[in-house]
Amino acid sequence: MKMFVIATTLAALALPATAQDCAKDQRAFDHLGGTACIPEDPQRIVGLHDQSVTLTLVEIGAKVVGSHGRLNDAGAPYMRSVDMIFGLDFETSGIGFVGTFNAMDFEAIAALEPDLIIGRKLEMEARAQYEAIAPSVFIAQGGPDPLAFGRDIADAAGHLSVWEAMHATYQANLDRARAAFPAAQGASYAKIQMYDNKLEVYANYGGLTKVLANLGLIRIPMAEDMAARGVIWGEEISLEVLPELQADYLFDTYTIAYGDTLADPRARFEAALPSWCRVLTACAEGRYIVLPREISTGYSFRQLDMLLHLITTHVARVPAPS
Amino acid sequence: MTGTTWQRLDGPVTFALPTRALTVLVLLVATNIAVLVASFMFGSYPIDLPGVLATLVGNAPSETAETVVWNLRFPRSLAAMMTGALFALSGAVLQNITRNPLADPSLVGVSQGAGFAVVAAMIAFPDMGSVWRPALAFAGALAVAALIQWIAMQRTGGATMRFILTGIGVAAFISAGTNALLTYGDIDRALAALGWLAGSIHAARWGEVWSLAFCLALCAPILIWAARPMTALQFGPDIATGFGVAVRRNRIALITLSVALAAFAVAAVGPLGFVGLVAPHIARRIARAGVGLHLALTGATGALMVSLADLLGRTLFAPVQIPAGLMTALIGVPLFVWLILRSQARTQL
Repeated sequence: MKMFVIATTLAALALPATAQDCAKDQRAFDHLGGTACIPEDPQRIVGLHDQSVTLTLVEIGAKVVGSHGRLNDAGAPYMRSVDMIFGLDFETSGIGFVGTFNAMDFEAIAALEPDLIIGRKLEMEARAQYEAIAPSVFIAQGGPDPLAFGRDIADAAGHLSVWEAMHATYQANLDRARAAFPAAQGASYAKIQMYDNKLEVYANYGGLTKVLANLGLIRIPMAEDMAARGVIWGEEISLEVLPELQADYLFDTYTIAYGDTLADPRARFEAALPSWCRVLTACAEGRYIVLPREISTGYSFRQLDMLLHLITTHVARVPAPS
Repeated sequence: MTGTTWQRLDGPVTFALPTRALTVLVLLVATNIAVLVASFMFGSYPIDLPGVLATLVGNAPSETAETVVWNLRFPRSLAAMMTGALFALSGAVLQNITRNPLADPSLVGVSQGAGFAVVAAMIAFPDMGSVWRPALAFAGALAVAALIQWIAMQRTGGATMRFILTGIGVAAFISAGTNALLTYGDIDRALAALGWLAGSIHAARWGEVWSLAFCLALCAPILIWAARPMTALQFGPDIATGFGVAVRRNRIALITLSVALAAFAVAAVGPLGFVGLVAPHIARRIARAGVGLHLALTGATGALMVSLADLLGRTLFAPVQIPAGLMTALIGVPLFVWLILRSQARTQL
């Protein structure tokens, strides 16, 4: 009997938190760190990464009181993508700056008295510190469905219905775009970039890759091979294999935050290999498309919608040969 | 060495007390305590001294104050002190054995070995718990130390200089390996490893504090034992042999001790460069003492360096956090240069 009681107690302790274990106005939430009791309607959320977590929280209208940020050249903090996509900064948004990647100021987070902290797997290194301050959840990134990350954040923030409504809108826009451009189905593309005379080819480029796939475009074999090998972003390749990048469309990006102009990506190619545009037919025929990096990498619905419109407009302007 | 001689019974009972060194040690300990108290008071969450004291005795003014003091500031400050002491002691032991004032755990590859082992594990096995890091760091550091020792002892004579030169070469080789892992490894895992490499005192918890305290408690009696062979070895292997010291055996034991001290510190907070190099010199310049007392002074100096660096790093530009490794260099280098220049003004180095 004694053994049974001990075993039962140990088994109960080993069980994750359930709805019954959580206090009133709280609920059990499954995340990378197990199961946590979090507020049903969080009022003071801290996002531990600006362009993934905070961006999503801002988009769905969650109550964000603090966020991770970065420092610009002048040493001023900013939230990458959140500033450009939603026009929010630390001074005017009411969102407090709580530190930079791998150097978070836990006390600044505590001073904000959050009722929920949301991070990614990368932030789990300091999990004990976050959990000492407030209920903390860590959301998995990089699964087969990249939108699942945003969905889980919205779920934790108690705004799942808002996220689902936005998702439905995106899907409807996507369906309309596909119907409007049936020729895009099956067209090939390469996401390329020249930087410091190094040629990079991407297997994945965040939202850009998702929207292109949703529209029915397919990656060139080299990028497909990278993806099959588990390359998360891309790889630097030799300029000698430039002909292997033949595709119906070439996509490149410029970074507004770094002061890039639309002409800079092409100029970098010209500087490294003056004949590149003649070698790649898509470029020679005007199907080299340059997009802002800030819009291209993220998965917020605003970014995805902007990408959808930008891509369809560019593709429609110069259709690939059938 | 400035000291006082106590004589009793007209001479047969005589004690030579290094009063200056003891006074400096007491002052260093007091300064460490003052920095600890300041660490409890200053930060992004404002708490005054009465608030800190009330929190420490269990009457915290708020739940947040209790969290900040007990869960964030206390373990972090203690971890900073103890890792500082460990790195400094490791450097002091290494400088003594090699009789080279530039010997330092990060110069001869010990810190790099520990760092490489942990970074490789973080990139290859991202789901591996951080509880394995101390063992990995220790194994990495020990493997590198053994490799350097083995290479250095391939030929007789000049083993000390060969140890240093081999260490520098091996350190460069291992650093290249670590950089390759960071460059070609998965970017997310590499980012996590980079954060750890920059020194992660900010993430120290009570678990790290207890393991560091255990290490210090374990190493303290060994350091007391080590003072005797270290005293003999500082005169060189020939004279040490004349004193009856088993040079080879003691060298291996002392190098293992130095490696252990650095490895435990690296395992807890990541590699913090420079402390092991500078702290023994600062200690020597502020008070001349015998080997045993010099070790105590070095430990206290290292503790003060890192705890002060951590306090300044987290408060100066808060909420921007400056890594403790960077702050130790920013504080330590000018101090080190000033001490050297001051010594040069008095006498030749």
